[in-house]
Amino acid sequence: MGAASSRLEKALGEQFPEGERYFGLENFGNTCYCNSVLQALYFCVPFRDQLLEYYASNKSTGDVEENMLTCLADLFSQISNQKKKTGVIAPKRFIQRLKKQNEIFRSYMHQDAHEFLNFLLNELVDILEKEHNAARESLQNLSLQKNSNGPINGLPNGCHKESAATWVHKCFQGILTNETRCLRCETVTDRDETFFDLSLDIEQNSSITSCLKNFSSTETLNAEDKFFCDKCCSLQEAQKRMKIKKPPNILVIHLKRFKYIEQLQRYKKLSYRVVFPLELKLLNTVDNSDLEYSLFAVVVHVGSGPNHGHYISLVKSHNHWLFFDDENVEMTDESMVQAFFGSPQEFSGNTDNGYILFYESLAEKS
Amino acid sequence: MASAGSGGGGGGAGAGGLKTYFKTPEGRHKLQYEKTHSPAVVHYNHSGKTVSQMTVAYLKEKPAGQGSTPSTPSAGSGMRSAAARLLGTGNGSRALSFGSNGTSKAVSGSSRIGGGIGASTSASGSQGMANYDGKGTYIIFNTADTLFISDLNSHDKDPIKSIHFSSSNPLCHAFDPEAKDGHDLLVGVFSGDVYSMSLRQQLQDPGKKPVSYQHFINKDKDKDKDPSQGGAASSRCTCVAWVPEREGIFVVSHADGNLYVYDKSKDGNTDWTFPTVKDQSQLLISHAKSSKGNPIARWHICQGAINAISFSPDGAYLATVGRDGYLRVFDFAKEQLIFGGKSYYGALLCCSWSADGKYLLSGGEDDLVQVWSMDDRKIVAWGEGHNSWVSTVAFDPYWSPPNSDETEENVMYRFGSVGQDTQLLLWDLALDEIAVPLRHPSAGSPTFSSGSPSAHWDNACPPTGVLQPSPRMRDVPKLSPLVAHRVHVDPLSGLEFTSESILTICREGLIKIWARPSHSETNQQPDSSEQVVGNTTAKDKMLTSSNKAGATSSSFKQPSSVLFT
Repeated sequence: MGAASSRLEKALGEQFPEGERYFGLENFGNTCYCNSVLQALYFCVPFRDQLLEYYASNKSTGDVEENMLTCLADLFSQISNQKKKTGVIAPKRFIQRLKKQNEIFRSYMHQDAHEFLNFLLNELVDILEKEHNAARESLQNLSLQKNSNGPINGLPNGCHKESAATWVHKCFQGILTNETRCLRCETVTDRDETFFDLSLDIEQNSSITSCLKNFSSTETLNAEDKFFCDKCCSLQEAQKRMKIKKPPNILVIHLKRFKYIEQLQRYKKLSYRVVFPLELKLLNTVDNSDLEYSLFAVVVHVGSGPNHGHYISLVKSHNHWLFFDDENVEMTDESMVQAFFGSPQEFSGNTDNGYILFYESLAEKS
Repeated sequence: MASAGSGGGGGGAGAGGLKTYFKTPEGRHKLQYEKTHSPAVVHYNHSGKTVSQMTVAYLKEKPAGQGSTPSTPSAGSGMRSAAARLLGTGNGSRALSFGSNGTSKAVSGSSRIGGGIGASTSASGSQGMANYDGKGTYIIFNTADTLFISDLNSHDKDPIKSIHFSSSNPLCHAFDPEAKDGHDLLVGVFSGDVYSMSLRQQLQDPGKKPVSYQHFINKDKDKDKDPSQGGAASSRCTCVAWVPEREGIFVVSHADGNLYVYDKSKDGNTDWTFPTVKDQSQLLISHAKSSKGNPIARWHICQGAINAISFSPDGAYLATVGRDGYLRVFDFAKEQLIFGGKSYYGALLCCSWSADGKYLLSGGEDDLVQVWSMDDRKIVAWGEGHNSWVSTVAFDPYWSPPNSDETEENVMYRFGSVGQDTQLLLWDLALDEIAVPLRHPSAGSPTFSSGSPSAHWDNACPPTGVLQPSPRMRDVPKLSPLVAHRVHVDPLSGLEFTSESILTICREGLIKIWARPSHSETNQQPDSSEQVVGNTTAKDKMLTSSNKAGATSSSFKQPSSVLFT
């Protein structure tokens, strides 16, 4: 692996970005689901910067109990502070913590990278919110002691509900709105929900653009599936569609490649060819924002079934594309992304398929 | 959404899920026959997967002095230019160039079918069957390391000739029926080199290697290889084109953003290389110092690949599309950028001119087909209907609008597009429909006030040499397809219109030939045969009827004098 590292350095030569580190991650037995997602997150620069900042400020405050957040921050700081530019790191503590934290990931079985990403982001948010609330409580306790007859009722509760957005939210959170139009009274009911990623149904020989369109296509609620209209006070036929109200800064798209097949009573992997462009705009936004995104990471599932296989990731860093396969890091080319679109016919070969796509907003960058 | 095709949901559905016809207002287009390379061909990929491209070559009769009479001297160069002439200059020349292109079938079809079978059953030694001196229409396509040639007018599925490239995969090709000294076929390969050769000589030679070809080595490709730009892969040829009306001049575009101009009359390859491109995103045109060798000029056009190029039918303008999402139109002789504009997002993958040179089509990774106006120097419409990337766009030069004898000024065009969604889409472009929202952004209709159209739509014509950014979604008029039909199992890579049919090719190299409807056929109860033609007897019947369609194609194609005067 030393040779591989130096090969990467040689390949980049003088173009090796200053201060950047390209490190492979050791596999502790089927932990590639974790490694591939960690690489994508490491090269999500706004996320990494915030995490390293958190690490720095946290370090100074001293002993905090170990959790997923501190372990991840440790790992990222460890990578970024390596003397060497390339090499391999063992994310041992992080994996141990992960297994302690969630029994799903405890076994040596093949795990789902998207589930891991989801778990990790939610865990980080929980920890940050707890810390935030604890900090505020101590602040409030402080102020309470000062003027104890102040109005306190209701305030903490109200605040708690929409607890301040953490930096994880600022990176990944978007808001979807569920528009339902009653076909009788024409009243439109909006219901907002937040998301960290969009999970899209996929079709054979389609594009992400098309999958996003389908995601937001209008669906009619009728027959068994009527909508209770508050205005009509009864079940009515209605039209429903999902739109993106607030596009996230980092858009994570999860392709639903693992589908439960009723007849088989098990999950099956769909290797459909789904093309994804290096730049993307969301067509299904509420305000037609025309916001442009740029692809910077792809987590790829390799293998024909859901219960076995391998995960690798392709990552863009300083306009170079890199290929991360556990310990191995290699230079690759932008056009290699196309090799992971999928297979145009069900039983023909290619099982290395893009599974989670990471796009960053270009507006945020400039 | 206008997705009339059965959609991608059919997942692993085989060819059985595909219909063998599709309907347009003109009638039923039937799958006449298919062509592909023989499955026995050993596919060795020198470098990754190749995408099959298709070129239709109209080979003329062998010139005088070789025993046969010379063909019409003034016919167009290339299919598109011939079509331009027929659309541009009234009836006389239309009939004329039509004759030189389309009706060859009736004359020499049968003999060539015999020849085709002979050549395909035994790779060599059957030369007695056909000498290929006459006219003919051939399909040239590439798969893996081989270039195949099929006879368009034969129903034989196998190619009549395969040319093996031992060192580098052929990726793109072009044919010039007007080429003077015999070398009419260009082949661009993965290494970045280009070969020119005579199509007729290839057909006449029994071997598997190209014969008496000229090899244009691109020395320039080897230097300054930025590993992040793909190293060797970045010099691969993406498109080759003969320059119309400029004898022997051709251009080759590459994945590194360079385009080279060659002159086939200059045989030497110079050792001289072009200056280093310092800013990859800037246009830089350099000329060779020596006047002896090739290439004679290099145009560095954009950062990343040039994905496709296309010359206007008169050869005056060169359009390029690329990875950076821009369409650029150059005055080729003046070497000057006229205008450019961007996709909605992502790379543009293909471009093509209308026969009169007034409109340009492009398509790309935003799943859209863009229509550009040369007069307005901007985008005039977006075609929405593909469910994946658009691989090829083309105007149908043989189509004429209905009611063309009416004097209204509603100029119409028919164009087609194929995509990675396995669909063929046909579109009508009626200019009175799309012109209104563009030229009068909000003035005429107060109800549009909420939209507050952006200012640049008011400008009649942007100044020369300006690249325009992506327009906003709501600012561009939208077109819906007339027909959307899932024609192949695999993603499509190419589309060609001929006088008698529409040709589609998929990335894997299967070609389908869809016969245009004939008048007699559309008149006889068009709805009774609605069901999918499945069994072989019905298919045979269909084939014979489309033969008939071919023979009477002149009645289908009525000349219209009013339109482009």
